[in-house]
Amino acid sequence: MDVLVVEDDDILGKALRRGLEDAGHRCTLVANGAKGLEIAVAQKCDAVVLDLMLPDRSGLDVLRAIRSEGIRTPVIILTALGSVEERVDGLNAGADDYLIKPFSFPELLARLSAIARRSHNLTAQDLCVGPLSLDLATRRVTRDAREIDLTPTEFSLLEFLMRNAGQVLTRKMLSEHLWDSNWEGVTNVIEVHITRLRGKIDRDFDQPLLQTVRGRGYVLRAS
Amino acid sequence: MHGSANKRQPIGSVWRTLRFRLAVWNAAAVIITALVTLVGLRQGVSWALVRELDQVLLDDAQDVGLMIQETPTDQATELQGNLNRMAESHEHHGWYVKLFDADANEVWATKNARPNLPRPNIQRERSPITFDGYRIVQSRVDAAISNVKYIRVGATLDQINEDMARIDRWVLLAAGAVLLTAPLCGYWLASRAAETVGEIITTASRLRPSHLEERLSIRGTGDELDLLAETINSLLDRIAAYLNVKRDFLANAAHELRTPLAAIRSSVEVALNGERSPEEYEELMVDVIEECGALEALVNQLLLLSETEAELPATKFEQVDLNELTLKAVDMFSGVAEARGVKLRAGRIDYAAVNGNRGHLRQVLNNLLDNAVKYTPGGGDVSVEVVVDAPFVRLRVADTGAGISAEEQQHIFQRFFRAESARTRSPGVGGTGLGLSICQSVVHNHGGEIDCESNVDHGTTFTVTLPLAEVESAAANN
Repeated sequence: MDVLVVEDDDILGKALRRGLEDAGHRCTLVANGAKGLEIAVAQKCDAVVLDLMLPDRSGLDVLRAIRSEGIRTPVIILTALGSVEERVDGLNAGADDYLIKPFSFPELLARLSAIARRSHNLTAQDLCVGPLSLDLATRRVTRDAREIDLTPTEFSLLEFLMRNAGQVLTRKMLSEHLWDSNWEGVTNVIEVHITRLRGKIDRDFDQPLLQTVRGRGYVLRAS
Repeated sequence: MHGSANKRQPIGSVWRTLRFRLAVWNAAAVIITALVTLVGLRQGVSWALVRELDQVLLDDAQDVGLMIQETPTDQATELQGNLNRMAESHEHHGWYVKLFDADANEVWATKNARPNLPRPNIQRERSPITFDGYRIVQSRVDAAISNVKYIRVGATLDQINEDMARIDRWVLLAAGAVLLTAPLCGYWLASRAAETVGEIITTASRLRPSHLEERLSIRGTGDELDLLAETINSLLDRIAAYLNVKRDFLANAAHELRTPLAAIRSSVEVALNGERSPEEYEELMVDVIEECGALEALVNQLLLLSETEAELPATKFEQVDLNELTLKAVDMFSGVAEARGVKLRAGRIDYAAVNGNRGHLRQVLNNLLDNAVKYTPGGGDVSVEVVVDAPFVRLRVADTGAGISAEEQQHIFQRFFRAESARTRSPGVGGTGLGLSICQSVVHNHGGEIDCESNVDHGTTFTVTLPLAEVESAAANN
């Protein structure tokens, strides 16, 4: 995917470019709104990561200009302002998603691929990751054709991990997905559920699918 | 440093100053009152003088009438002599008597009587009129002499007019004096009142957030200005106290941020300081990211606290089902509780809709549940209840943990306060020390109360009381 990053903070911009390139995307980094608008309007990118506070003009103006050109390229807004109104303003201006600084990099990747999925209109009935498969209609989970019994929380957790297979998901993302609330306390409310889920999908098999990435989160990987 | 700015009057135009307006109003009131009084007095004196003359004329008319009646026809000349003598010696200047017949033709008059023409047309008896500088009374007599039918007694008003002219001079003099002195006195009085206001303004403009210790002086008169000064002083007291709290808070927050920052700095410095294996680098980077998480959590909590303290307008509230929110929170902590060997259970959960901010209320639940699970040893219980007691709903989180001492209970809602047990526990249990103050701030913002009941070694119960949403309480009554 070609990602345009419009970010004036040099360190953050470079970190974003490196991270995106590591994840297999091509990345164009620009530091002001005018250049960003030029590239977006020329439709040389598949997605835009847009900072709101830019030196020359507000990110919201850039976004409105892009949308007024009739360009539907997905846009993720990046900002330190996190109040509800600002979020609504951003979404009203035509943003597809909204990330508040500081954010974790896996979350940005996950949201980018979610946006890409949305724009390709992929809604799968069945999710498959290696030997693991999940039927959304019957809520049946199998590994190597052996049925696995899951609690609703575990099912929801696994579904989310499988939808984002290969991508690191942070505790915050999982917590928000499962319980509509981020928990930043020291207590790790996710870990117990991950451990249990791992016990069910990985324990009796040679190859572990659900892995912990230290300091970052969890990932479901086929290999 | 701001001396020149202080001396400058903050008021644009002299015409709009309180001093000037007070003086104008004061002067206007005094002048109007004085003029009305003076004119009234003058008119009163004039009226009294004329009344006095009238009375004399009426009495004289009666006397003359009697004299005429009692005089036989042959003595008319004698009568005329008497009347002429009376006219000459009368106390009132220009006094005269005229006698008329039935057709109102003049029969006789005293020597100094007013000229005949023009003649007043007098309709009523014994009712004085003013005519051509004279005061005249007509009276009827049944005289025996030469068909006299009416008499008229009159006197000039010259004397009275002279007196009045003298009085008018004095009145004008007095009015002039009032016109001159009233504005001056008014301005002086207004200045005295405005001086205190000016003092308040000067003191107030000297105040800076950095030095709020100055106070307005109370003169002890107990008037409105004293009251104003007292009100401003108590406002200053509260602002100073508030600023102190804010200052402490800022300092505390900065100190709290130092610890994770120090950890990040030293981890990175260690990483840069010499060659290390990839595993070691990874280890250090993981530490950095974990400390970043701590920083992030602290910053988010500070923002949440400032958001809740700003007292969100109630219009931004939505209807929140507290029961659903509670069950979600219980589910969130159920795994952790089980892993710690704590029995976390939802007791009675009534349907309860409240008006509020979903995210903020959820933070309250999360903080209370996290504390309860954290401070309850294995084998203990944590129970959660949502009980409707219209028009309120009570959320109770009870644990069988270590409890909080009475001394510490007074401080648990203070920012950055950590109970002894929270500080001495192993790492992984501590928090930012903001959780409960966030809870309190959110609950107060929702018009509710939060209470803590705790017995050392027996456990702690937190009770949050919130008002139910309007629709819900109406439905409950039906």
